[in-house]
Amino acid sequence: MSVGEVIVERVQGVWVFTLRGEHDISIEPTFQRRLEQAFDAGSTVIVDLSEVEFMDSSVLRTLAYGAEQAARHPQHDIGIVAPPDSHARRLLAITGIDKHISISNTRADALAAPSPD
Amino acid sequence: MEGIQERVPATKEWVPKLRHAVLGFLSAHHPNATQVAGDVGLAVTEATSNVVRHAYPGRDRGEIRLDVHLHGDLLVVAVSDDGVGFAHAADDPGGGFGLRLIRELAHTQIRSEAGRTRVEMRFPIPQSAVARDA
Repeated sequence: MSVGEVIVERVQGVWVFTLRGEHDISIEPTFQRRLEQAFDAGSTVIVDLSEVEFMDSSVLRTLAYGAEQAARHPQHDIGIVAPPDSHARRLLAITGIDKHISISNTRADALAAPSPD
Repeated sequence: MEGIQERVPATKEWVPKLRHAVLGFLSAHHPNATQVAGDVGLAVTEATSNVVRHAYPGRDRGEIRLDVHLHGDLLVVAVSDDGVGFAHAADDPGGGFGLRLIRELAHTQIRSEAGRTRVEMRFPIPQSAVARDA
């Protein structure tokens, strides 16, 4: 069992959050706190789920929060990296979050996506 | 009947432990059931997390009860508690993702009333993954 961690990097002017390990209620609210801090600065965030071993609705809730903040405040934006056949992509589809946040197959694709005006 | 029966405190630290206990049981009996294991792990996590979040508001923590057994080629997992029940639980701050996921991932039966909630989840083991005795 590998405890979940959130790696935060600044890449090409964008905050990139990489989730690794197992993410569930036992390590809440680490991810949400880090996301709130990034949004306090008015920023674009990419959440990379390509290396996560396990995630549950606690992560999905935080992503939904991010989508809500981005919809309300034009200075915020959020995108997700989730490979096409991944567990994460499936969860995003089941919960409908994929209709509210852009999803890229790779980090390179996400960084190349246009930023909001 | 062989299986798992656990009675643990309804605290968040027990959620991953219970998940791994169930996955270990599944792997021991059907080591090739890797695809269904993902669904099992997530559904169990959501059900036990719901107990931690909602079953015992404003009072000393109660218990999570976990019962797991195999019924033919069906994995049966029941998560229960003696808490307030769904009718009195606080709204899920995340918009109900937990229950939605459980219902999507498993054949689910939920019985809830004040003082007792039981979430029973059934997972068919794919024929290709069923381990047959030699």
